[in-house]
Amino acid sequence: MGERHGGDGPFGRRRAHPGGPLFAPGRAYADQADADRADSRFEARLGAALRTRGVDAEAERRAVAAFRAAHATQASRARTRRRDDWRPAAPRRARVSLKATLSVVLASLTLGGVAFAAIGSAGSGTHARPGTSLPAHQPASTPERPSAAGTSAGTAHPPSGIPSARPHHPDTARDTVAHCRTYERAGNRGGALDATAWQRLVSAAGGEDKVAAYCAAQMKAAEGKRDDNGGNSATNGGNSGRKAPGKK
Amino acid sequence: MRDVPRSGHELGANEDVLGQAGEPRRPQSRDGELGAAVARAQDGDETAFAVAYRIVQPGLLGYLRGLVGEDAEDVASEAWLEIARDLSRFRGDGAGFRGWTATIARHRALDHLRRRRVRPQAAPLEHDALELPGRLDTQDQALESLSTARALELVRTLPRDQAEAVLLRVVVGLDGPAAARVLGKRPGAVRTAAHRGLKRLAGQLGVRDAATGV
Repeated sequence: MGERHGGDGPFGRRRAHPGGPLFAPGRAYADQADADRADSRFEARLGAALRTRGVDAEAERRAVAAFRAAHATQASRARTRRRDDWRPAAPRRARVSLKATLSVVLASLTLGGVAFAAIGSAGSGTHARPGTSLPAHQPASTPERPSAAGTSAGTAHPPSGIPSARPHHPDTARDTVAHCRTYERAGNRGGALDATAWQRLVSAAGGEDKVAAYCAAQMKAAEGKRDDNGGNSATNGGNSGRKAPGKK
Repeated sequence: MRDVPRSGHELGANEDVLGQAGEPRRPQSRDGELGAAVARAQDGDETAFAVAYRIVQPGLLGYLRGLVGEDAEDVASEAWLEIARDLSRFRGDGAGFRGWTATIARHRALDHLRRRRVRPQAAPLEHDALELPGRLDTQDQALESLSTARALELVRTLPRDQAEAVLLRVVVGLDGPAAARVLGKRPGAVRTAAHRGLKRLAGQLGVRDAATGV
């Protein structure tokens, strides 16, 4: 009976069953192809037994009548819904993959941009902030670290005794003030700060809920110092953006 | 083309030996013919629609019998009303038409079962099935003696997912991805279910007994 099938069962593309042959493994098949043939013969026989012989003429007549009626009433072809589209999927898959690729590229560009912007706002707030007439390098001695008074030429040298991986980064006090500004700009949320900066701020303040008060104090102190050092006429604790343009 | 036989056998010769029982045993061999008939039917050709009906209905009815038993004819009629109504929406070839019609038939069958509130496989015959004699000498003898009623009984003892996977594959003639789409499952899951179901059927048919006797 092997001649009944040329080798391909009803699933022509499947070469072998995933879990081995259907029949007992002890059975002596010459090779895998032989076992496959036995499987597909079984499937074919089963299918033949389950398929009905011929069709009922009355049922066919009803179906054709329904077709005629539908065709007569439909002026134009109805819209093809997704479930009606059984065309081979290859072209559609290609379109999808192109779309997917473009989405990924766009998403990574967007995320990259956001990350870059976040670095800019959190890291260099003091230097790059527009609208302030701050001198390029403020004296940065603070109550916390009096020894690290890098007043000479900016902060090119990290304070001795404190290792820093970022030699050109402003010292911690000014970091804190910058972070506080970012924090306030962002509407008292930590969102605009990166995680490290936010954690540093929280630990410096001694708790997440104390950040607002801590920042207010820090910025007041920074304002006061600037006024002292710069000697300009802005009122103590006032808004830094309201500074007089020229020095008296 | 998916309906071209991969073996060296000619399609005609294949049909000849397959047609011993009065119809071809490989529905795929007629997918080309089916696709052409569907295309003409979509242009309004009534005769072509009847041709498509005759090609698809035996497998569809076999599938529905496995799902709803003796109500299969009624459910098939409902399904064909919907197929006739929505034919202009359909896009695809002959194999696609098998999948599309099977999906419609399945939805009608599930509606029917919900109305009836009866589980698709009451399995009162499982006992008999397990006691099938193992005296048949070869697998082929076991298969030759397989009647439609017997085969249906056996399939309806399977868990529903296995029964449907087996039916869509061997009766409707769908390939793995198409069967998966009809069932709304992953192809791997459907393939596994079909394999388990077929293995169990082979065992229940006494094929295993015959095999170990070799």
